[in-house]
Amino acid sequence: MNDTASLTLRGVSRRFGGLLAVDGVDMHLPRGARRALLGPNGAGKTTLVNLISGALPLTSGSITLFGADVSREPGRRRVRHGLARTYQQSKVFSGLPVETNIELALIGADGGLWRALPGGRRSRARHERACRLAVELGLVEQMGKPAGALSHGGKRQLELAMALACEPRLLVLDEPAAGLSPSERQMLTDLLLRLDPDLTLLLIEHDMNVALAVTDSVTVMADGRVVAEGTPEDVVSSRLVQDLYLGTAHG
Amino acid sequence: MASDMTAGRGDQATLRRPWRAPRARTVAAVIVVVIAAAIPYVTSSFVFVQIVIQSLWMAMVAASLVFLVRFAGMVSLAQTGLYGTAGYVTANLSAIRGLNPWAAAGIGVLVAVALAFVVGMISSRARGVYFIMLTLAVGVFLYYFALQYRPFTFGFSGINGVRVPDLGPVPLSDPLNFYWFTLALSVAALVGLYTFSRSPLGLALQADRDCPERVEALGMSTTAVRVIGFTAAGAVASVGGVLSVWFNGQISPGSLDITRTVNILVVAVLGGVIRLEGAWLGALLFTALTAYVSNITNYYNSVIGLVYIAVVLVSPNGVPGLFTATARSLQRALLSSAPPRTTARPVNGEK
Amino acid sequence: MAVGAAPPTSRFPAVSRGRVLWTAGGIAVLALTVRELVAAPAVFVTTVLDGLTTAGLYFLVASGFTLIFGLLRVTNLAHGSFYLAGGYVGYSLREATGNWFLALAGAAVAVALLGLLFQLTVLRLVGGDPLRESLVTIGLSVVVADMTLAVWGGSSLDITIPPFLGSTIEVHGLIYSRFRLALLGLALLVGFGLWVLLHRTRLGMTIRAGVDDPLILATSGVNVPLVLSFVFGLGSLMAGLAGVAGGSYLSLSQGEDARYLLVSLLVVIVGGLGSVPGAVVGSVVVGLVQAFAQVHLPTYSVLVTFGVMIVILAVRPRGVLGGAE
Repeated sequence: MNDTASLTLRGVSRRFGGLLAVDGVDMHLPRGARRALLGPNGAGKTTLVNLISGALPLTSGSITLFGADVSREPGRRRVRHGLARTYQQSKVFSGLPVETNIELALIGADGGLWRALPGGRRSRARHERACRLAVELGLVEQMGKPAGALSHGGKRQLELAMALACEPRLLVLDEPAAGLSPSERQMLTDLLLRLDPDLTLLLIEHDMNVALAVTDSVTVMADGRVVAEGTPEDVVSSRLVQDLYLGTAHG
Repeated sequence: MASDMTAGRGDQATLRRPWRAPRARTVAAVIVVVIAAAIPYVTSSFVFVQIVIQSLWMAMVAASLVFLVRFAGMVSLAQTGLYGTAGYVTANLSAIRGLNPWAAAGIGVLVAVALAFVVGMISSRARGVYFIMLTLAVGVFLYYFALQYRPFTFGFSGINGVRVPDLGPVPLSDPLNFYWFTLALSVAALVGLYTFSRSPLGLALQADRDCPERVEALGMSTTAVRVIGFTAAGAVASVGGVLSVWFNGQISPGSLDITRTVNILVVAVLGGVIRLEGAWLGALLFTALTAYVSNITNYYNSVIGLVYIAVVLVSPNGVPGLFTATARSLQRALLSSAPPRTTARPVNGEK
Repeated sequence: MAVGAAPPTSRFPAVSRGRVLWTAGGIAVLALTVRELVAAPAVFVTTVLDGLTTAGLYFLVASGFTLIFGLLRVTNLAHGSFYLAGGYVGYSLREATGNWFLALAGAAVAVALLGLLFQLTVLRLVGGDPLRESLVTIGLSVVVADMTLAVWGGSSLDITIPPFLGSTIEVHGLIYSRFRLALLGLALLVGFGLWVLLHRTRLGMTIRAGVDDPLILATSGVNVPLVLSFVFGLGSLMAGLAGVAGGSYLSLSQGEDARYLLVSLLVVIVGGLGSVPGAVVGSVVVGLVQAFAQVHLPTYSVLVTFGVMIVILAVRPRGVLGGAE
């Protein structure tokens, strides 16, 4: 196994009918990288995340996770390589209690349903781990409540708890700060800064304060293509990126 | 993950799951056991056989539907077809081919479970109304199969003369013994389905109901989860099918036609699709309603259809929901000035 | 109507497997056609005609079903009962007046009114939850079945066809029933009428926009409840029409409601939910498969039809014309 690469994308493309939403993206994330993925709305960031996580099939290109080619694997197998993600719009199990949501993430991380089968019973240890994670992410007050009853911020926290429960080696977050209050944003930033240094992070975020505080490199996308890559300072000061964010999108 | 894990370690009390009124549950269980034990001795033989025993096997089929609706979000109209399949195989093997009735029943259940697996596979990608349509198509198809595949099903007249076997020295043809036997299977089905719903697989099934994408993103296969859930429910429905064939002594296409499908839906809706126990309550209400209404009018099917529509319209939680809603509004009216002491109770906490 | 756009080119097996299956299916159908044509051309032509006339009847039933689903998102599980009720009312009108066309029109209007009444009183109360709406309609089907049994009894009835359609027609030595051809004509006429309504009128444009995106309907300034009721009435009207046509072509009896509900389900499952072109494709597929099954495997025709549906579903879960998931 290649020890330095967490995620490698080569010529990754995705077509929706006549629209090339992601167009030949190459990306290389070394282990422990903290990468922000920036770009205007419609640049193809979320589509790229869906391609990486396997929620969408590739049109062409290849994806390598920790040295393994996963281009043809369905999303649920990519989890085994240590990939976890969150969604732009919170996707939680609204009818199940908060801690059970996390418990399910742990079941998935333990090797899925088949490992969980023997005896068919829920392990107490797993339940307690789920509860600890809930506490850690500030969801202690919410335990026992169905996830659907959580506030927007609470759902985002829960999403993050579920992703962290998988003990990922590569964590992909799709706008985790969207809709959070300033204090919640601060909590999120602190949490992201405390992550294991070995963990690789790919972060889509519009809030530059959050994004630049926790990442050490930036990829900028526009119209499905990578248009810039570099350190946060380089990229933010570049003319191109300022144009993009001012709306004069580069063709 | 190296993030700080010590934060919540000290506070064990908050980690424990909430424990809901065990005494109320025990009391309820004792009451149900006492009633179940007393029923054979306090009811007339008509009520006992035509209402109580009949409701028990209907409830098995309805419970499989309630399970699917409640825990998997699947409104399956194929449950009648599955129970009919188990019934037909049991009837054919024992009454026509002279196989040992227990073996026939076992094979019947196995065939129906295998069919449930296949139907689950076919419909695993369909959700919501698509799922209803597919399973209804399967159900109606099985009805036509029963009608048309004469070498096995004997067409319109069906298979008659199915005998109830003995359980060791106990003859199940005696209604009292059959009652206890069916009751035991009902309890086993109820416990089995609840155990399933709380197992990792059952949790994943509920998770799939809420957000299938997330289930995949957690490394679990939604198809596997749904197919297993559907098959488990199919097993319960098919046991109900065997019991129905033994109870009626015969099976015909009429046993799985659309009216029967609706009857099972009515039972599930009457019982409220919130708790599995509701299926037994719904079945009791349904058989009682049918028995008494058919005494008064020939149009009892219309009456049942209208009652069903009314329940769907008025109370999504079925008749129990109706009672709790009434009780709550009564309580509110009586105690309108008093502080709301018990309002935190869950809607279906009375069972 | 364009057959669904080909899926985007891909090197991955998930899509190409579908391709292989489609090609294999196409070759099988072609081979069977050639074999049939060589073996007995006259039988083949008659069977195709049978299939198409059956398809015509199925289109009449299923287009109403799919129209209602498309706009209201209600799977009207009482659609088969509307068919049966239409047939019975048509039978009584035909017996009373002696005029087949009057029976056709009268029954269609009567069923449209029944559908409207149900939509306005019961469905509106459920409001918006497609699952509960579907559950309510299945309750209606029980009531209608029971009521028709009470009024028209359990034995099967035939609607007498008009005398000038009662004979057969002969072309090149082929003898075929005039009434069946007229039925096919009626289906074509109704299909054309629907097309004109949906594509050439303002109301139709609104309906089509609403099928694509219910939000558009809500913001387009039309009286939404009125449009919904209109479509439900129209769908019911088609079921009533089909009932009279089917009751003259075959016969009416209890249990036919389930049969035509199954037909509607099969047609929309094959053709894709909510689209009228899909209903055309679905009816033709189901009609032809059933006609050939009736010739070769007369006892198990329903089973064969069902098998074909399962194969199609395995390849395209949303039907032949249904969009990709």
